[in-house]
Amino acid sequence: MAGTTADPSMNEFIYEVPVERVAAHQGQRLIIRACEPAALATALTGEPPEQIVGARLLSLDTDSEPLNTWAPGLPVDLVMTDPDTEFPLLYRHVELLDHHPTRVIIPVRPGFAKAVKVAISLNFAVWLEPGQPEPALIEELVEVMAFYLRQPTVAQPVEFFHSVLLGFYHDDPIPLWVVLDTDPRYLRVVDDDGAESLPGRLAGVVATVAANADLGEWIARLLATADECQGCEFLAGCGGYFKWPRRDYPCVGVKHLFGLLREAAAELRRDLGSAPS
Amino acid sequence: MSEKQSESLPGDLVAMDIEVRERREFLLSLSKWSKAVIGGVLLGGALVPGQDAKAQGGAGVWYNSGRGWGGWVEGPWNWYNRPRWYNRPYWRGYDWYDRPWYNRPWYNGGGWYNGWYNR
Repeated sequence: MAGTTADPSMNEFIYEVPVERVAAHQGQRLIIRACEPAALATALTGEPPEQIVGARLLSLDTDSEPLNTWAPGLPVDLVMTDPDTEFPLLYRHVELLDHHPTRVIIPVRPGFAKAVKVAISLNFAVWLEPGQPEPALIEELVEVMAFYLRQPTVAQPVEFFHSVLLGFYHDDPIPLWVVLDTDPRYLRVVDDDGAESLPGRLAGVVATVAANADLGEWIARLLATADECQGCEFLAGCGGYFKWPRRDYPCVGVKHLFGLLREAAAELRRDLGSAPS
Repeated sequence: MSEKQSESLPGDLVAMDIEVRERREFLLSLSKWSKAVIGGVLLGGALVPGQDAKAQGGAGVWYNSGRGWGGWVEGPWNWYNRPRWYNRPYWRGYDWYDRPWYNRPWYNGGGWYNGWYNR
C-alpha cells in the first residue's frame, strides 16, 4: 500500500473512496465521493449509516436534490475545481443546508475570492485548499482573510483561517494537517483503481513513520523536515504543511498570512480585555 | 435561550451564559469582527462546567484548558469526527441560530453542549 507502513491500526482509518468501491470497504468508516448525487443516494441505500462519515460531491454542475432526504445530518463537501467560473453553481445546492452540514472546498486559484464571498453569503462554510500559493495568490488570500475577519455579515468559518486564528487566540495551535483534513494518522484515500495513498498533498508519499506514531512524530520525522521548518515560529500551527508537495516552496508569503492571523488574535484578546465587566 | 431554560440551568451555567452574551454583545458593538470570529472565540470550544470530559460516540476525549477553551486529546482529528463548525451556532441575520443537527453520534459527541448559551 503506497504511503503507509505496517498497518495494525487499519480499522481506525477513515477511507475516502469512490462510490463505486464502497462494496470493497465493508466495515470501514468511509467518506464517499461521487460526481452524481443520485449515485450516492442510490448506491448507499443499504449501507449502515454509522459506517459513512461524510460525502463529497465532485461536480457542482449537477442536481443535489437526491441528497436532501438521504442520510440527514451527514456532512457533505461540495468540491469546486474552477472557482472563477463555478461559483454561480453554488446557488443550486443551497437546499442542502437544510439537511446536511455542508461546506464548500475551494482551491486557491485566481478568482477564488469571488467564490468564497458567494459561498459565505449563501451560508456555506468554506474550506480553502491553499496549495502552495504564489505571491499573487497570497495577496488574494490576504483579501479573503480580511473579509473573514472583519466583515460583520460573515457568519460561517473560512478554514484554514478560522482554526489558525483560534489556535493563536487560545495559544493552542492545531497543525494544518488536522485543520485541513490531511492527518496521515487517520485518513487514507482510495483512487478509482483501488490503490490507497496518504491523503491530499501527501498522495504518493511513502512514509517511514510507525503506524501508531502520534502526529508530533509524523511532523518531526517526515512532514516538517525541510530546512525552513527548523526554528520556524509558525511550525506548531503549520506542521510543515506548505512544504508539500514541492519541498523547496518558499514560505515567506504563508508566514505573512500566519503573522496576520496572530496579530488578529492578539487584537481580539485586547478587545475582550477591554470589555466592561 | 428562553427564561424558562435559563431558570433550569445550574447557577454556574447561568452565570457563564450571561458572561458570554455580554462579551458577544461587546464584540458586536465594536463592528470590527465578523460573526464567525466572534462565535468561534466565544462559543467554539467552550466546555460546560461540571460536564464529563469524556466525549461519547468514539468522537474522542475532550479536555478543558481552564481558560474556556478545550481541545481533543485523542483522535480522530478531522472534520468528520469532532464537533466543529457544523454543530455550532451561527448568525442568521437577526439572531443566533443553533442548528438542530440530527444527533448522529459520530460528529456530535455526547459531551458537547451547545443548546443554551448562544441565544
